[in-house]
Amino acid sequence: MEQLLKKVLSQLSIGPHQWVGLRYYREHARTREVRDAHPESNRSSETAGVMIEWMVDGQFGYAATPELSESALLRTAALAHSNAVAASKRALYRFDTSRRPPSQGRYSSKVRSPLAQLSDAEQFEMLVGLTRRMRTSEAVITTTAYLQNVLVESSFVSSNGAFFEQDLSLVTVALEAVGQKNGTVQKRSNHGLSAYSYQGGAEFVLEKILAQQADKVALQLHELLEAQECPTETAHLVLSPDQMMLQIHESIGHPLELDRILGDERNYAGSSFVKLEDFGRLKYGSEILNVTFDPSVEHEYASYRFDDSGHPAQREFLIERGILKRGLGSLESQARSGVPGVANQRASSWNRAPIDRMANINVEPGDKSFDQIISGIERGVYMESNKSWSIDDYRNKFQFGCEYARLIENGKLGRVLRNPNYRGVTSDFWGKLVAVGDASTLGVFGTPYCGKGEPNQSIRVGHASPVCAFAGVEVFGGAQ
Amino acid sequence: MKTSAKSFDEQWLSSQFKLFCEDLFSRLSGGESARISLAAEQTHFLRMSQGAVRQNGTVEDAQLLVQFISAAGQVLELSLPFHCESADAVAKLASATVSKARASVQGVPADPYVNRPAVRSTSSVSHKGQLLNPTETVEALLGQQKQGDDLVGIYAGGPTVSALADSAGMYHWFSSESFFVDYSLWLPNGRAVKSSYAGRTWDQDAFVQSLARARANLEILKKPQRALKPGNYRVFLAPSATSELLNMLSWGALSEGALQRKDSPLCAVRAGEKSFSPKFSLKENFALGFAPRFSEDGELAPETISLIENGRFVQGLVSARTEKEFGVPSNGSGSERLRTPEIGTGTLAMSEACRALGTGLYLSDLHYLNWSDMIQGRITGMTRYACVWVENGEPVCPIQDMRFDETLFRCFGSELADVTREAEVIPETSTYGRRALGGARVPGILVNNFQFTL
Repeated sequence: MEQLLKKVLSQLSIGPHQWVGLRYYREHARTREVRDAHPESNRSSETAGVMIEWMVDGQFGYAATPELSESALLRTAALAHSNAVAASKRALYRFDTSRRPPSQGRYSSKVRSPLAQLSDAEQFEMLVGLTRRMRTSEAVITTTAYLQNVLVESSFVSSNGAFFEQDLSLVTVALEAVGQKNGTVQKRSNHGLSAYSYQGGAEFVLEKILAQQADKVALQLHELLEAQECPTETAHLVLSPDQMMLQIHESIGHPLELDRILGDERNYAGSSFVKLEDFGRLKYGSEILNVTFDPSVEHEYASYRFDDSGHPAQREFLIERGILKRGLGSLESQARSGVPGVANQRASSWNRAPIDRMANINVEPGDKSFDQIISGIERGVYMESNKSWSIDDYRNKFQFGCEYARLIENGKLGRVLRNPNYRGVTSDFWGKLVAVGDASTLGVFGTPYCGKGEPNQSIRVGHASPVCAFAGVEVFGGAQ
Repeated sequence: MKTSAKSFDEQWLSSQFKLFCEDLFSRLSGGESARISLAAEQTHFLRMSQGAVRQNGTVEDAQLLVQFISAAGQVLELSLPFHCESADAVAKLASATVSKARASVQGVPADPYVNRPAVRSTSSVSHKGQLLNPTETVEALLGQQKQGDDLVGIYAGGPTVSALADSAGMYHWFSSESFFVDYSLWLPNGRAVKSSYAGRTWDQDAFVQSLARARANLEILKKPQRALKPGNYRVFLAPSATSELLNMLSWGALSEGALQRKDSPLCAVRAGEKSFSPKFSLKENFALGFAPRFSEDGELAPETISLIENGRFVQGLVSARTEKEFGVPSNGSGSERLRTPEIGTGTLAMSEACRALGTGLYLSDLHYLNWSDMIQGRITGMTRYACVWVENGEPVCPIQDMRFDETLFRCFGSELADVTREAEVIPETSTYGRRALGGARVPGILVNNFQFTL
């Protein structure tokens, strides 16, 4: 692919102060799903194509094609040029070539053993076994086991000398059981919807580990079927890493995206309560809140070396000791806003142009063990695994629901609670952070489904967090 | 595929697709069957922000989905790019696809609920349009602004193709040249009016009128906003807001599979424990022409499917797969999601909405809905865009956005006061992966005691 891209690039008549980049992207996804011991889905999906961006008078135009021939790419390049010319008369901002660094290098996911070493039959046999394992009583209505392995190859060349390649191997395993008893229906999964998502291979699909997860799902499903509703009160709230993932994503990740703050997303995903002048000043949370953008964490779902503009990616503090330091903004957004950002201009595939996205957004560990956090709480609720999420378009008023909860009374975990929910306001909520777990409480998760952009793009993100505790949060249960 | 919307060669694509299908089906041996769908598009995307161009580009794509079913009932779905230059290339792709499918199902358990091709049917629908040339789009969209307009949104336009064939003789083709502009106009105070303009023939005057209407609706939003306390309020949900509630019925609620697995809020309706208002009716209506009756799952829906009739639950959305598993006859709803829904209209004139509301909230749009207790039909979400406090039938001022937490059974049931006699078309504007087809026809609804929590 390198040769083809470079050959096409060499044939283009690129004017002074213009820039052209060609991004090849191929994705092969292998997905298997079993429900109640029977195959539900067995899919092999491949997509591949090239996006060409051409900058004319400071305005990028793009065109994308799945045809990987020289003639098709030349045709597509002409279209990208034409789109840039048409748009340049009414450009929002005039960029220069510094927004597309001439980066060179290579990145590959660390894979201890490829998932392909397990045959199709072996993978199905394992999934069938897991669905049977979760069906531990008559109360269990449905069990599902889902396994996906995605292999991504991408190459990037540009008229100012960039050439880099990145290969990803991504794994997701989702287990879920639904049960019914005495008119109550409950669900339990391994960490919430598709949160068990990593860069790697078969090392994340070890039967022994998944069997333990399946046993926990089944056990806690039965606990939920016997549980009382989560009480309605204002109390301490302790969140597990697999719910912190959602809390970070919705109320730190999205509001810090500079393109939202600049107004590009107002017609779809929304804006932000954060203003450009807040960076470097705003007290986003309590002093124990430290948040990083870190695309260098081995095996975390959204690690990479370069974003899709060629900007080299590195760890940066977004929030340090509670103070907002840096935005989630690409080189383009940094030029428009004057705010420091990160390498996060990412596209979901070859057929979408890159925009500001999250990658791995992590809460850094603190100094409390799980027992220390719980023992310091007189009354509260401990919640695990997201099942419901909703937040306003300025990323302020939120309401989140979890699969599983335990009451905390007098410093101890008590009875199991069903239908746990909580609500709050972002700008107030992080100030209520009273304890951050140490590294022993850290969990690393991810999700393949972060939606944003016009045209729409669904992208992969990762979130790592320790267990965290918040004071004075409104918690409540299900409908009466 | 060619380079511009004008040259998207549907005939050529059709001939290549037929060739591929015939070749692949001819390679199947005893007991094997297959189903092939095609989704192709050439779309011009113009993304706008602050009344200027943020991104401008063109995407062409053609993707096949081949469902291979072995004699023993093992299944593999193969999704792959489709852009063959010659008959030889088509034959090579068909051969490789069958070989890969046969190899990939080795040792895979049989799928007891697989829907094998069995019915011969054909159709061909082609909706031609008059679309903007990509070189004209920027001026057509952004040359119409008044000074100070802060226009944000997207134009997406061009041809799309959906096709389906199977080894039993089913062959369906649906093509459409269409566009949508999904936009909002913003005030410096952060309030906005959301609107859309969609169709098959671009009419510059119609777009200018759409902008003018949105501009006029901004006037009330210039007033200082009012912060309301959480509690119960009488509300009027405009069609766009109603459509957001409607979308929740697609999320596991109307699915017959979910109903059978006790995983739907409508289980309580079927059991007679909960009910909808006699004022609420819902059907799938393919006669609207927004989406093809066939689905990539190989099913052909009837022209209409009545789902809820005057509050009575008639049927769920049933796929052939669910029919096999639970014995409920399929109604051709492959994905068991709404594709072209229509809510029945009522008697309230849209122009009388504020008067009928009296004192309460006019809600233009809702945002980010999710189940807060799915089995109980409880939904949470936010108000968004032009939501206004109304007193004695007169709009007074915009409100600070609020969070609601309410059940389907109250909105479309016990608290449903009235339904407008006019309905609006809400175009499908999803572009995840590819430009989606479809749309909904939805009236406004008047609801008592709508519950706000934050």
